[in-house]
Amino acid sequence: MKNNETSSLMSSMTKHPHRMKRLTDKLAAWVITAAGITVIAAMFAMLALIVREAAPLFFPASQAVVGAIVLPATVATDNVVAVGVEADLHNQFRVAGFILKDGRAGFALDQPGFAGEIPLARLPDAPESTSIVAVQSDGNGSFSILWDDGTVSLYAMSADFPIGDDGIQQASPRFTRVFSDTIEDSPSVPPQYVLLRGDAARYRIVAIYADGTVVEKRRTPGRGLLGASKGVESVRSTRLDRGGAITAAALNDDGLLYLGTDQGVLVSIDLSGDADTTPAISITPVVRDRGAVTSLSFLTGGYALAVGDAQGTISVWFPRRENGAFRLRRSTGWDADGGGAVYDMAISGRDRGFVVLDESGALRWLYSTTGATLLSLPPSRPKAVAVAINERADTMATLHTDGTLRFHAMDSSFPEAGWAGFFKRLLYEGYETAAFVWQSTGSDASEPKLSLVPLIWGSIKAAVYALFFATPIALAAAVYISQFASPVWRARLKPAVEMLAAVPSVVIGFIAALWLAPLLERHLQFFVQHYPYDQRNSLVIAIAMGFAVIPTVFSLAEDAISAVPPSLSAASLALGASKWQTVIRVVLPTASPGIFTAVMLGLGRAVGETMIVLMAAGNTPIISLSPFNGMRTLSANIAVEMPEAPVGGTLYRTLFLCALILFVLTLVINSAAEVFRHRLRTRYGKV
Amino acid sequence: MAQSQRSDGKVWIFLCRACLILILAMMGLLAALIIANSFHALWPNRIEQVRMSTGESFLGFPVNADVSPEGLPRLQYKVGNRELNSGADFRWVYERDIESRDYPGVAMLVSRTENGDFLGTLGGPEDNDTGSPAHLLDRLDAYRARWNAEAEPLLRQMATLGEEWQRIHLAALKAGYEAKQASAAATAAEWESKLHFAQERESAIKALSERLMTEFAQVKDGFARESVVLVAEDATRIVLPLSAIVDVSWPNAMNPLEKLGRFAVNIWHLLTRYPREANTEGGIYPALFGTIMLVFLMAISAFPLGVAAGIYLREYAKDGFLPRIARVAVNNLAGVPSIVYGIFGLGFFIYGMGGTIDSLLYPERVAAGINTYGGGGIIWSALTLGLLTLPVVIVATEEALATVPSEIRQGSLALGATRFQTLVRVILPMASPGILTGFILAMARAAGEVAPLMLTGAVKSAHSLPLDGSWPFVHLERKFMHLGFHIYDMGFQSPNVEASKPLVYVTALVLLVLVFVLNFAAISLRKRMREKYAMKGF
Repeated sequence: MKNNETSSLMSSMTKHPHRMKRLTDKLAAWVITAAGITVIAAMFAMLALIVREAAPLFFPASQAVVGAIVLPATVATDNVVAVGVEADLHNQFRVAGFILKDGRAGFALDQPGFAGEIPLARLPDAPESTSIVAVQSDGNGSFSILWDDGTVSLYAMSADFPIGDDGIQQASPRFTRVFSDTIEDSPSVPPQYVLLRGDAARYRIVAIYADGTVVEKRRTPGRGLLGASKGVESVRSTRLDRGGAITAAALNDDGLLYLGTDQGVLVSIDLSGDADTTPAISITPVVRDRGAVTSLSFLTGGYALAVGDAQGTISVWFPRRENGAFRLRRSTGWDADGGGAVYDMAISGRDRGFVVLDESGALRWLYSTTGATLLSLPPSRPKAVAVAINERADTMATLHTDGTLRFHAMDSSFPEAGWAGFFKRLLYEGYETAAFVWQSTGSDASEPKLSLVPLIWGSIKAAVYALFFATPIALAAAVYISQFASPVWRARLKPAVEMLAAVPSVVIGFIAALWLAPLLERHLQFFVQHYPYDQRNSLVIAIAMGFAVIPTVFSLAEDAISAVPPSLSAASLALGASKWQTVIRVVLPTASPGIFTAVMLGLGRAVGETMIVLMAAGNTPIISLSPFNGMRTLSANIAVEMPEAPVGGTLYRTLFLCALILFVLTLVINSAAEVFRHRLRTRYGKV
Repeated sequence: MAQSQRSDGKVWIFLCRACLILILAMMGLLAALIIANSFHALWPNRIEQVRMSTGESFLGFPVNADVSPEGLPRLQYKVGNRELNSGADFRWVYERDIESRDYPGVAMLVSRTENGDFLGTLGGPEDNDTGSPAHLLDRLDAYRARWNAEAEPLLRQMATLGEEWQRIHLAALKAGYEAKQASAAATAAEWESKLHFAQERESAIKALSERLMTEFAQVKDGFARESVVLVAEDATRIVLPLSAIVDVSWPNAMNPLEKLGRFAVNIWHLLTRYPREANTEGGIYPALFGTIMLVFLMAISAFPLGVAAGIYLREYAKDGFLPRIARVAVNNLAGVPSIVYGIFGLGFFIYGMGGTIDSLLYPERVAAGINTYGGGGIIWSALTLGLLTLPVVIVATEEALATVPSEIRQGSLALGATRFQTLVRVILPMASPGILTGFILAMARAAGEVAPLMLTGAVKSAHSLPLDGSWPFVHLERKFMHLGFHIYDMGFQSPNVEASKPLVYVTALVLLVLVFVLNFAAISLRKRMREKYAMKGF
C-alpha cells in the first residue's frame, strides 16, 4: 500500500467510525461463534473418541491371504512332515519352514518377487544318514522327531528379521535342536509317538508304543560330588491295557500326558510325580458315540486340552485333581460342521485361541475361554493338509495338496473381549463353576478374565446403598427446612448444607477408609466373627457416598418442595388438616416429580463417584449382596487399571468401554431426570 | 373436634428435624476430625515417658486409644526410633500394664532426614562437650550457617550444571537424529558439527561437575564429622551427624508461648518444605504449588472458552436446531463422571495431541523412548479439568445472561450500539456477578477433583516444579504433585500408612481451606458485584 492510500484509509476510518464498529462487531461475532462451536464440537469429540477406542472390541476377527509360494517339484507334499511359520513384529515379512521325511528342511519366504530356489539342507545336528519315522508338533513351532536309528530330538523353529546395513530388512529363519537323546531298552518295534518337552538341562521324553507301553525318560539337573553339574536320568515305563488303540497324544510341561484312543476316551497319565512312583492313570470318555479321537493339543498355558474327533467335533477339557487322580471336565465345545474328522491343530502362543483343520480342508479359528468361533474358512481348492501359526497368532501358513504354501495375515481382534467375554458367565481355567470374573492382570500365561458384570454390579450396588442411606435423611431434612423451619433458620441452614457439596470427595473417602472403616469394624464385632467381613465394605461406602450425595438430593428436593404453591397448603390448613398432614398429603405429592428428579440426579452422581469407592471399598470385583463385602465399580476400575494398560491393547480398550458404559448410564439417568423436570414445570404452569 | 396426637405428626416432625441435625452433625464431625487431627499433628505435643509393670520404659506420643478384641483397653504410642525398633515406629500397650506416665523435661524430639523421628535425650558430658540443649542449638545454628556459606553454593552450582547438562543432552540427541535424517550432505555436516559441539559441551560439563562433586564430597566429609550423641530410653546410644537433623525440640520444657511459636513454625514448615521419606514426613509445598498452578492454568483454559460459548449460545445463536442440541449436550456433560473426562484426556490429549506434538517437534526424543508431551503433564491435566468445568461455566454464563432484561439490550441497540458494544459495555457488566460466581464455583469443584488427574499427570513425587528458575521457566509438560492426589497416595499407597496419617489429615485440611477460600471468594464477589452493577430501579 502506498503512503497516501494508507493515510486515506486511516482518515476514512476516523471519519466513518461506524465502519470500524461494524468491523469489530463482525470480528467479535466470528470469534465468539468459533469459540462456541469449538467447545460444542469438543464435547461431541469426547463421546466420539471414547466410542472409537472401544468399538474395535466388537469387530469380528479377519484374515486375508497375503502370499503363496510354490514348493519345488522335488518336494512332494506328502514328504512334508511338519510346517512352522514366523513373522516379524509388523507382520510385513513372513517365512514358513518345513521339514521333510528324509530329514532335510527348507524355508519359504513370503517376499514380493520371490521366485528363487528354496535351498534344502539337513536339519542341524541331525544324526547321520537317518530319516524321520515320526514327528509330533506341539502346534506352535516345536517338533519332537523320532529318527530311524532310535534317536529322538526336539527342534524349534525361530526367525530373526534384522535390518541389514543397506537398510533392507531380511529374514533369518532357522531350526535349532534343543536337545537330543536315545531311547534305550526299547522293544524292536519303534514307538508310535514320541513327545519331548524341556531344554538341554531338564527334559522329559515320552515314547508311546502301539501295544500300549508308555516309556518316560527324564533328565533333571543335579550336582555331582565335586559340585559340577551333572544330569540325573531316570526311566520308567507303564502299560496301558484298556481304552483301545492310541490315536493321539499330548504332553505338557508339568508332565501330564494325555492319550486319545479309537474308542473315544482320553487316558490321562500323571508323570509329574517322583521318578520312582507309579504314575496315576485315569480314563474319561470324551467323544459322543465312541468315535475316535483324532487330534490332541494343549492350549497355551499347558492347562486346557483341545480334543478333536473323527466326527469333526472339537471340545476343550480342564483337568482337575481329585483324590490324587486327574479328572477331566468339559469346558466348551464346537459341533462338527460337516467337514469330516479333525486333522490338524495349531495353537496360538498368545492367548487361548487355536486353529483347527479338518479332513475336507476347512479351517476354523476357535477361542476357548468364550467358546467363540472367531473365523470359519471353507475348504479351498486344492485343499489344505497342514496348518501352522506363529506365536503371536497374526500369521498362518497352510500347505496344500498341489505343493503351495499359502500365507495368511490374521487379526484376532481382541478375542477375550466381545459380548461373550464381557457379559457371559464363563468357565475359566482353574475355576469350579462358570462365573462372572474380572481379573485382568496375572502372568503372561494366565487367562484374561474380562467380565464387566462384577463391575456393573459394583457400580449399581454402591449407588443403591448410598441412596438408601442418603435419600431418607436428605428428604426429611429438606421437608423440615422447607416447611417447618423459621425463615431465619432456613436462610442460614440451607446454604450450610449446600456447602457440603464443596467438600472434595477425596477427603470424604480418606476419612471413610482411615477412620470410619476401623470404627465400624470395632463396633460390629458380632458380624465380624460370624460372617465374612471386609473392613472396607459396602456399609462404609453407603455412609460415605451417601454423605457425599446428600447435598445434591437435599438441595433439589428442597427447591421442589418450596416450589409448591403456598395456596395449596393454605387451603389444606384452612380445611382443618394439621401441618404434618398437609405436608404428607398435599405438598409432597405435588412436589413428587421434583423429588424424584432429585433422587435420580443423586443416583447419577453416585454412579460416577470414583475417589470414595477407590479408597473405601476394598476394590475387589465380586458379586455379592452382603453389606459386609467390598466391591469394585466401573469408575474405580478405570482409575486402578488404566496406568498399567498397554496402549491400544484389549485392557486399554475395555477401560474405554467402561467409560462409555458410565457415560451412557449417567446420560440415561440425567435425561430421565430432565424429562421429569420439564413435566414439573408444565404442571405448575397449570396451577 | 379433637385432633388425635398421631395426626399432628409431632414425632415425624421431630424425626425430620433430627435428620437435619444429623446432617449438620456429620459435617461438624468431619470438620472436627480433620481439624483436631491436624492440630495434633502440628502442635508440639508432650512426650510421655511410660514405665511398664515389666520394668521397661519408653518414650512416645499417645496417638490412639481403643479396646482390644478381648475387651482390654489399650493405647497406641508413636515411639519413633524406627531403626532401633526393626522398622516399627508405633506400638500398642495395654493400659493395665502401664505403671506410670511422666513428662520428663529432658525428653527431646529430633526430626531426621532418615528413619523418621527420634525420641530420647541428649548424651551427657562424656559424649559431647556439654550436655546442654542450648549448646546443641548453638552448634546447629553455626553448622547451618557454615553449610549455607560453604556447601549450599556448591549444591546450587551442581543443580544448575545438571539442568544445563539435561538441555545439552537433548540438543545432542536432536543433532544426532537430524544428522541421520538429513538428505543433503551439507545439512548433515551442519548437524554433525552441532553434535560434536554438544558432545564437547557435555564432557566439559561432566568434568566440571565431577570436580564439583569431589569438592562437595570433601566439604561434606568435613561436615559429617560434626555429630551429636543421642541416647534412647533403653540406653542405646546413636551418633547422629548434624547433617541428618531437620529439627530439634524439647516439647516438655516449653512454656505455652514457646509452644505457640513452635506451632506457627510447624505450619510454616509444612507449607514451605518438600516431603521426605516417601511422603511420610516433611512438608507439602510441591503439592500445594502444583494444585494452585493447576487451578490457575485450568482457569485460563476454561474461562474464555466457556464464557464465549455461553455468549454464543445465548446471544448469537438464540434458536435453531444446533444450539438446542448444544444445550442438551452441555447439560448432560455436566453430569458425566470425572473419570470419563480423565480417560478422554489420556486418550485424546496425551496419546493423541501429545503424541503428535512429540513426533512433530521432538522426533529424536521419541526415537530414544523419551516422552515430552506424549506422557502426563500439568498442561494436559489443566485442559482435562478445564473440559470438566466447561459445562458448568457455560450454564452459569447462559443463566447470568438470561437475567439481563431484554429492555436494556434493546435500549442499547436502539441507541445505535453494535451487538458487540452492547455485549461488552452493557450486558457483560450486568451479568458478571453470575458469570464470575459460576466460574469460581466451578474452579472450587475442580480443585477437589482427583480422579482425572490420576490418569493425566499427577504423580507421587516430582523432583522439580512446573514453574522454576530454569529456562523456559514455565514447564507445561512436567508432571506435578497435587494435594488431593497426595492424600490418596499417602493414605493408600504409602509403605507406612500409620506414619503418614497425620500428614494426610493436615493435607486434607489445607485442601479444604483452599476449596472454602475459593467458595467464599465466589460468594463475596457475587455480593459485591451485585451491589455494583445491579439495576438501581428502572
